[in-house]
Amino acid sequence: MSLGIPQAGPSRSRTPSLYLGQKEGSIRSRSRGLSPSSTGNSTSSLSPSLSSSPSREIQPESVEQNGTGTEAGGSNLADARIGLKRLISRDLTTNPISKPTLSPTLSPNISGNGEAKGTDRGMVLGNGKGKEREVGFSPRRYYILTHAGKPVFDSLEVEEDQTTNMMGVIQALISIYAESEDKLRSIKRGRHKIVFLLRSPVYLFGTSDWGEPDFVLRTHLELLHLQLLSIVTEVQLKKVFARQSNFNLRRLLEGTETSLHTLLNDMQMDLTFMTSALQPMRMAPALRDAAGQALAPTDKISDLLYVLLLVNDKVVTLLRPRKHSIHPTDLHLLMNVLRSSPGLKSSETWLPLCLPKFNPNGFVYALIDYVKDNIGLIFVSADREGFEPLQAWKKSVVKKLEMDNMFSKLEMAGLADPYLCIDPGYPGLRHFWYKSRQNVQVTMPVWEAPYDEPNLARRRLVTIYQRLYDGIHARSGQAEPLKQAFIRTDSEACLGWITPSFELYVAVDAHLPKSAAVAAANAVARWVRKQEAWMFLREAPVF
Amino acid sequence: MATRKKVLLKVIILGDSGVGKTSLMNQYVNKRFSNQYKATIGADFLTRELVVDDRVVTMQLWDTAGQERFQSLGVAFYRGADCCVLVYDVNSSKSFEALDGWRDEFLIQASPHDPENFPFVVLGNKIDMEDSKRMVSQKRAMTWCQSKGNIPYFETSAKEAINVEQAFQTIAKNALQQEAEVELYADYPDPIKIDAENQQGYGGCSC
Repeated sequence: MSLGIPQAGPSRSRTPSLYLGQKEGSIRSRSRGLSPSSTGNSTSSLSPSLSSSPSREIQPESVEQNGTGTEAGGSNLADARIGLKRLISRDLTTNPISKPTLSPTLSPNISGNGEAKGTDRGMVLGNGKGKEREVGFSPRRYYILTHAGKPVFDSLEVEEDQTTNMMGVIQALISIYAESEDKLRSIKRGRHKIVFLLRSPVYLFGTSDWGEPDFVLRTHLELLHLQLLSIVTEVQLKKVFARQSNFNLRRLLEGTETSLHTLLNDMQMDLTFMTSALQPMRMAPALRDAAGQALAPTDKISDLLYVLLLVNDKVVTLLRPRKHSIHPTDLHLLMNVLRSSPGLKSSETWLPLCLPKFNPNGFVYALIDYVKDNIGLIFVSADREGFEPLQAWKKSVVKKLEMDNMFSKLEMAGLADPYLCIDPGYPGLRHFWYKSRQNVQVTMPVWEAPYDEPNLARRRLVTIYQRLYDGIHARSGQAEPLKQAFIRTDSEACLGWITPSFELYVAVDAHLPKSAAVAAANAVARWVRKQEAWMFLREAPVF
Repeated sequence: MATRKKVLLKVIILGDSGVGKTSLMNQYVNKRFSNQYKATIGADFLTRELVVDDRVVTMQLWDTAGQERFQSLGVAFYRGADCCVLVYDVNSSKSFEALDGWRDEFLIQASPHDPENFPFVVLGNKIDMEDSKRMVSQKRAMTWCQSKGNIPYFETSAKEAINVEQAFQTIAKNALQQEAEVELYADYPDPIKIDAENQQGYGGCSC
């Protein structure tokens, strides 16, 4: 139990020792103009000096937001709000959000080296005085509640009184801000952070002590919300709560929570969700094209939306109608459903689901068939009665693929897909990821030691990447986006770099100078560009 | 099949300051009573599980501050309540006379779907005090309850744990009536027509 609100009552009196919005913690509400990234012109080759373009060494200095919580005009109302805030702050103070599971040796230990002062906002890695501060990296926790304060989902799956009480506190807190037409966005206290996403009739919030920028948790919550919509659709959700605001949504979702758990689990270390991008399988373009040709419908199949070929849960090819493009987020949600239900791989399935970015108000239908253990064919149709014609066509497609010996070729290609970070041939390079902005796709090597396990080292590296990304895309309301950003810890030195055609993040050995990180980035960029045809899915047939 | 998730009932407790709302809740949930008075600031939350008609339900009790300066917690706070408990002190006429106001406040703020039939329960608390102090007779209270659509009425003592269990059992039972099963998929959404020309386009991956 990591986030708990004690049962407050006479028998458990405690002194309110902290007021949110003051020095020790802060409440952040209402959008502070978080704008999507926009980068101006930039150089496509990186000079070691990094002087010609906006770049910054991001220091672990904590620049905590001052509270922007509003106080209402009417005195009664204001009193009520202050009182409730006091209650809630008391609860948050007396019960730390999560147990401090600190390991001094694994903390990022970013010591200020006197270089550029960090101005990145919302980072809580340090304590604001340049002193080292340990960072927990304990498991994050996520919750969904209804706008009446009834619990819907808890990522730890405990059903206990403390959670139920806390949902009430959270709903009350949100409603205090809602009264003054404000939106509660986050609460910070030291290392701990609670981020909210209000999507009435449901509210979502997540807790973390990783020191990541707010947008990371918010992205997680947004995806969690979209996955929820993929089960119930937005229009149904709104309708049922309009009829009955006391509706117990939790009971309705029973049995489908697995997909939410899988999603949250996969998102912890994933960079494709965050960038809303796809990581296709790395393979010979000729083979990809051949597979795409075999899947292209020869006759018109009405209401066919997408055809997807997966190997090892990676996209080989994706066919779409001329008039539509598929939103990567919808694809992530669909693939998450596949990952979370092993049963879907054992037999042919006709699955209704909502792809909320395509249309949040209706279901589409997916014909899912894993022709081999690791090779899946997915046909998505808007036609509820479309199973039989699709199945007939799928049979002919499978026959065609078999005749070309395509399945064994794909299995071979799947084995050759992963690559190592030594492949670009730069010594000292530990990991990188590259996003092709034009294709909205990413590529990265497999995780190698010390990041091979989803352990603290990988959590730390992913969090550093996220902070670089935050600086480069100005996701936390920074004055301007950076073209390059650099973070050094005791364990690694990381550089983020954006150009009009790509963005690239590299991690090198900690003792290497910044110029080495720059050289590594140049080497990776050259190497990936040479391989682009293999790395990315560039041209797939449309129908 | 997985264990069926429990029904959760949201129960709001209203009444003047000092009538014993928090004490009743504490007696019910923690089996404890304290003579010390501590004003509730804003709101407080307690949870208890119980069995009603063979169903296990979780009651989420929303204790509110009776003091006027903490009122007006707002629409959002009362939203989606399954039952509202009105508490007064039998030794205080003023707290009894305030019930009308509390009931109206709730109905206005929560605006339940069917206000005529929304379940209220009235509790006359502090019956452990000497008879000479009693200001509101049982008859008077019951007459009021009847006039408001036969609201169930209990006389309780949080201190002596009199009638507390029974009262909350009734609260849960009446709240449960609000909790009707909704057939979410009863009306199937309109099918999506992807060949229609007016489908919205959106940015994103063009792969």
